[in-house]
Amino acid sequence: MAVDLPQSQAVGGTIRRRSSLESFFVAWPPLVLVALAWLALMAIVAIGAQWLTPYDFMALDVMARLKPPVFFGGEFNHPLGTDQLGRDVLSRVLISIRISIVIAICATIITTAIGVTLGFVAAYFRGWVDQVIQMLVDAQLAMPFMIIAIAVLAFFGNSLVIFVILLGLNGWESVTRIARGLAISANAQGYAIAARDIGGSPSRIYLRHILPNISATIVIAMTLNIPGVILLESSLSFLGIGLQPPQTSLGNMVGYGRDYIQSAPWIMLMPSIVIVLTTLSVSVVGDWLRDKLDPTLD
Amino acid sequence: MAQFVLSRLLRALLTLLIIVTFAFFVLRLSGDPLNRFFDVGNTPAEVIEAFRRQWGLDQPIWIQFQKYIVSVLHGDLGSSMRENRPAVAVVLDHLPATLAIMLPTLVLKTVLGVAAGMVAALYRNSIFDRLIMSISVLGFTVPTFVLALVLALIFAVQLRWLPSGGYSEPQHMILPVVTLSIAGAAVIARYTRSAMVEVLGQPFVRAARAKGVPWTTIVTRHVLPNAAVPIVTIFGFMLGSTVGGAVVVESVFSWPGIGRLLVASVTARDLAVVQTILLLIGVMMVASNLLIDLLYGLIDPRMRSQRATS
Repeated sequence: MAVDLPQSQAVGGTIRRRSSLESFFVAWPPLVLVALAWLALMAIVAIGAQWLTPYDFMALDVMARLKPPVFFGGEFNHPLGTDQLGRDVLSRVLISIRISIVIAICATIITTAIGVTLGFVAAYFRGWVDQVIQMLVDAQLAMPFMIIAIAVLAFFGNSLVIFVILLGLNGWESVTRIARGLAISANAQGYAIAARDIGGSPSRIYLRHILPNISATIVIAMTLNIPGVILLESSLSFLGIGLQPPQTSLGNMVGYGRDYIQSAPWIMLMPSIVIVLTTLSVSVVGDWLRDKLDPTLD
Repeated sequence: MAQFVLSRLLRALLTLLIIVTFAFFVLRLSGDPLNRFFDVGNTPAEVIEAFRRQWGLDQPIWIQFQKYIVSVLHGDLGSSMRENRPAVAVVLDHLPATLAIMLPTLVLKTVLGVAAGMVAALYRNSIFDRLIMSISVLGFTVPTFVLALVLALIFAVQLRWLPSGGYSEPQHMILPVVTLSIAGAAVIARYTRSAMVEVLGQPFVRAARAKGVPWTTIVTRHVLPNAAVPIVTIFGFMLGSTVGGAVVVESVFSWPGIGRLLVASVTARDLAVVQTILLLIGVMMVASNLLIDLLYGLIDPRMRSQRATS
């Protein structure tokens, strides 16, 4: 980008000025554009699912069971085919996208809130509070979260609220570590010292001064957390211990679709493709954001 | 060194204690155990009182916790409600099946992952590197159940080369092992590559090249040992998740291991079994973390001296 400055031309033309199209693609790599486009599409689906679905996602049509998608011998009235109860796969995928995305976003907000709070508490008190929080982070890192999630679902039973809160506990430890590290270094910086010297309360310093200053990094950590949540939610729903029918989610669809893998593979393939493209897009965009905004994060 | 080993041991024990505490509180918070045995409303108060006294439920929570720890230390984790025998025995019955697919997987994914990561790093920015890294990104973002089902669709349903599920013959192992290996190798390859790329940029590699050391010797004697720490770290995580890492794949391929037992026990709310599996996985993770921590000292002399000074 520095290349576009007028001085670089004045030096004598050793540095070739990029064409505007070229510099556009340097700033926005094509892969990132494709990923963003896919995510935009997913956002539109998540917001407008009820107007986009050709059928009610629970509507049965026993006369039209296991119809293949268009171009595989199906007809246009069910573009992605139908499932074993004659429900329209396209409608179910659209509704599932909305549910999976809403769950992933809610869970990530919870994760971030917990992570930032614990990180700030550790950074403010230091000492034994810090030690305890670090120990919890270590303990969390030592256990695969999916196993904890399965165990909690076993003991508490399942409801949408418990499920979302549980997914919100996934990944808090990495946010905590990032927030703690950033807050400790921010504490030593001029603006935080100044705020403290004029008598700002700790909550004011942390929430009004430090938080806005580290928000870019936190937002990236949130983005990178989303694919993990989507994978966890779909895996649990796939196993039949996540979201329960008649609710539908992408993992849930794959879960019952696997029984028809021989006769109607599209039931499980369609939601699988959506999951893969979405997690892939979020990671591509997250990596790109990280490289662009904060190369220090890994 | 002794001090270092002791501090690591202490930390491992603390982590285990946290996991046991977590299991205990989840168990207690999930409801009064009485509800699992009685219809509380229709049972005489004396019976309930006697039951509480018999099982120590009238004691304060911290005494219950103390007793719980003691019974865990004695290997008593309650009985499976589904099979009406000790939960530990039920879980141990399923352990061989899980190990039968996880141990070959561990070897295969480590060999594949380290080899692919090395090739990618040594031929950085070449077509191999791009290819390996693209596959590795897919390995990260494709959920294992999708990978498992797609492999089953291709090799079991379309080509009919392999069985799609079951336990009786060795062919049944192939699809689960391949699925788990691809997913794991993707992660290992990525770690290996970034560790190697970092070491390859170090001055000592340039110095070795400049004085004419053959390239293979540089890679095996200088680069690999220095890149070993991150690779060993991720290997440790994989080793720890040997028992619990196959939940999804086992249930796709109807493999009668710990993972499927866990899912079945959750659905049946067989809490003693769930808790036993939770503790088993916790012990595995903590033990392998400890092992890796101790390995660091062997691989990297700098870590030993740092610890001695700090």
